[in-house]
Amino acid sequence: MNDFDTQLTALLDDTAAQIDPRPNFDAVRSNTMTFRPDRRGGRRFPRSLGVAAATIALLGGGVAAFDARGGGRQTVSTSSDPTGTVTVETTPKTTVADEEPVVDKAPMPVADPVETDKVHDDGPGDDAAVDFPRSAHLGASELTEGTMVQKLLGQAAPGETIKAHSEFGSIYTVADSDGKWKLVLRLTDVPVGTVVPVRVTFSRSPSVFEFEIERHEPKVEEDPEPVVTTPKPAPEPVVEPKPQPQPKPPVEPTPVAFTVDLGWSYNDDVYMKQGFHGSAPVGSAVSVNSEWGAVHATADAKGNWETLLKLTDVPDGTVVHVWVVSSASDHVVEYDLVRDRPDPEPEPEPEAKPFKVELGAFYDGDAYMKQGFHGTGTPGSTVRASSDFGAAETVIGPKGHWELLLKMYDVPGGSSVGVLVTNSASDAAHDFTVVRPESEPEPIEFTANAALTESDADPMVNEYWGTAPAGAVITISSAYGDGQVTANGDGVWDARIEFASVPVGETFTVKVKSSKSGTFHSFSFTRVDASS
Amino acid sequence: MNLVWTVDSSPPLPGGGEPDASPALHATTDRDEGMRALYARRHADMVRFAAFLTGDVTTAEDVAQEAFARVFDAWDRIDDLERIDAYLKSTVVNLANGGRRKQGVAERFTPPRLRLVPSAEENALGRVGRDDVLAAVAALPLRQRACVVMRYWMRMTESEIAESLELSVGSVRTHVKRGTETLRKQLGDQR
Repeated sequence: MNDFDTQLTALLDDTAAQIDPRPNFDAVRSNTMTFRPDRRGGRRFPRSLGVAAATIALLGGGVAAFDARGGGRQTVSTSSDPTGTVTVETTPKTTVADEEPVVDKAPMPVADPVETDKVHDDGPGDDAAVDFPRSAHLGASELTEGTMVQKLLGQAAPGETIKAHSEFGSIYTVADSDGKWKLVLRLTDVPVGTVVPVRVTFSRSPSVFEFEIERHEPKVEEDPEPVVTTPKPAPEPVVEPKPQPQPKPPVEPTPVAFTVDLGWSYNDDVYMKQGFHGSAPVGSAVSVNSEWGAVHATADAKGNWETLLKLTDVPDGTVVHVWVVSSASDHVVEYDLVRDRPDPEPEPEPEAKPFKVELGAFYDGDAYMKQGFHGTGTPGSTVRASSDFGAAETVIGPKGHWELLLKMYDVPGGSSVGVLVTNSASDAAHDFTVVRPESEPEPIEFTANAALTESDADPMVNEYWGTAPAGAVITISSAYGDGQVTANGDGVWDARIEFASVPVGETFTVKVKSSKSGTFHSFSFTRVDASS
Repeated sequence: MNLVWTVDSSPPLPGGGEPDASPALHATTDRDEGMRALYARRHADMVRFAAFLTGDVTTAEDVAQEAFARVFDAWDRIDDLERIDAYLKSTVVNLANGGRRKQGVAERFTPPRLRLVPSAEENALGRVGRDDVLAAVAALPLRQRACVVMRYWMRMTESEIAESLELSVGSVRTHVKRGTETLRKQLGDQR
């Protein structure tokens, strides 16, 4: 390792040590995930749960059932707390075929209420939500193929369920984390001229708002006004207390008219963005709504407002209906925006290259061996390497280069394997032979033994034997005699050595060495007196 | 199925790995227990590994969490539990790459993040901050990034990296060399 390598190792260690992960094993097991707001204040959602959970979370929480991957049904619920942490939980898959594919039934946990004017004094058992103002306004309306479509929006406690009822249709939704809600009520088969009463109720408040919507003759191009009447207080037995009107912003001496203008728009692969700006009474709320998402703004001290509607996952070519309303005006401004993504940049023309193959690295493992191949070829075409013991293929990259690793299992040691490398864009085929090396034999250890330690014979004779790597030359040497022998193919050797003219009583050393080993063995041998 | 997996068989990673902090698990096929031990031992390191690959700690936590969730789902399909560590690492690499691909388009149209101002201590010591290192590593191409982090932070050998990423040893060597050269220019200028 050079100096920079050492520094890099230390730098990476230091950096890693500064990262302090927050383990949450239960999330892995239960499929519950918690997400905190990121640095920019936005929220990111688990990719694995997809658009359903993200959409519900953006709307402020709730529950949705959807078709699970691989069959069956799954339920996703999301909730958020006042810190912006969003929790997404999925239930195990069910296979109930007739389960209703309905959304938004369970109210999400209520966030700690932000301080608001106390406008209701509701009964016991509803303490958590009594401080939130409730309101309901009519938004845009339209008549489409006999169906009356009426948009409603307003304010409620975060997570509260709001229902709009009528004899021709009902719908409910859940207020978002800011307490804002909106819904689209569709009334079918309403006879012309009928006045339809619509009641808006809240799950955690006795407040009720009533509206009357009249079905007009379908035609009139020059009547831009929505076919609505203003809300009136609920009739008699309606629950107490009566809803109070929304607290009005301080009235400016010169009221500012509610106007809307389109700002810049931007379409890319991910987002469809449209800016809106205009004027409105100071402090009034402006809401830009669409089926794909909504955004809110407040008019500033000069009566100006601006906001950016940012929509995701809108399919190309979709007409997105947008309606803009103000809390201080009944006027509704509507737009139809078209999702029109810019054409993708043209792919550069791939560069054609001749099909060439070269051998890469070879790896010999216990269970399998691997041989790398690399080369060039036509971009986008497929290269396949096949053998009797395995095959692999890859797609050539845009620059015409490729590489692949062929794994071959259970190849006997010492055998040759033929590998054929072909290319879908070429008739050429390349043959290779890969040899798996013989497995190494166990090394034979050098050992030596001696038959005698003393003798009275003259000349003295002794026998030596042992093991050594095949072909090793064993040398036996001493002051009174030497000898050499070669280990046989099985690694065995033995020798008989004569030692001449050894004085009686003399003890001498016999050294046994192998030509293939750095070690040696030594033995003592003593000439004793025959008479003793 | 009679599988044996020993948690102790995979050594702790450097740079903050917690050696044997978790209960060792021997001779078990129980998914819950096995996952709990694996999570306790590897979660912190996988988050750090993902942080090097993605350049962002928050994203890294998502990536690591998702990688563990996938391993949890795939537990019964994994034949060789001794290779589960390698499976986990390659899942992190793949998820980090997928996430960056999706994120890339969005980030092109997002205002650049404010760069964190180095602390007085960092200035005084002339040290490179965490964000600088993460950013420099994350700017490398995927394979260079993975090879450099595995080589210099995880202390894996070239052949181990090659095995893990299914590359040749020669490719690993090239990726490490090129990645190191880039980092030397990037980080060397700031030191």
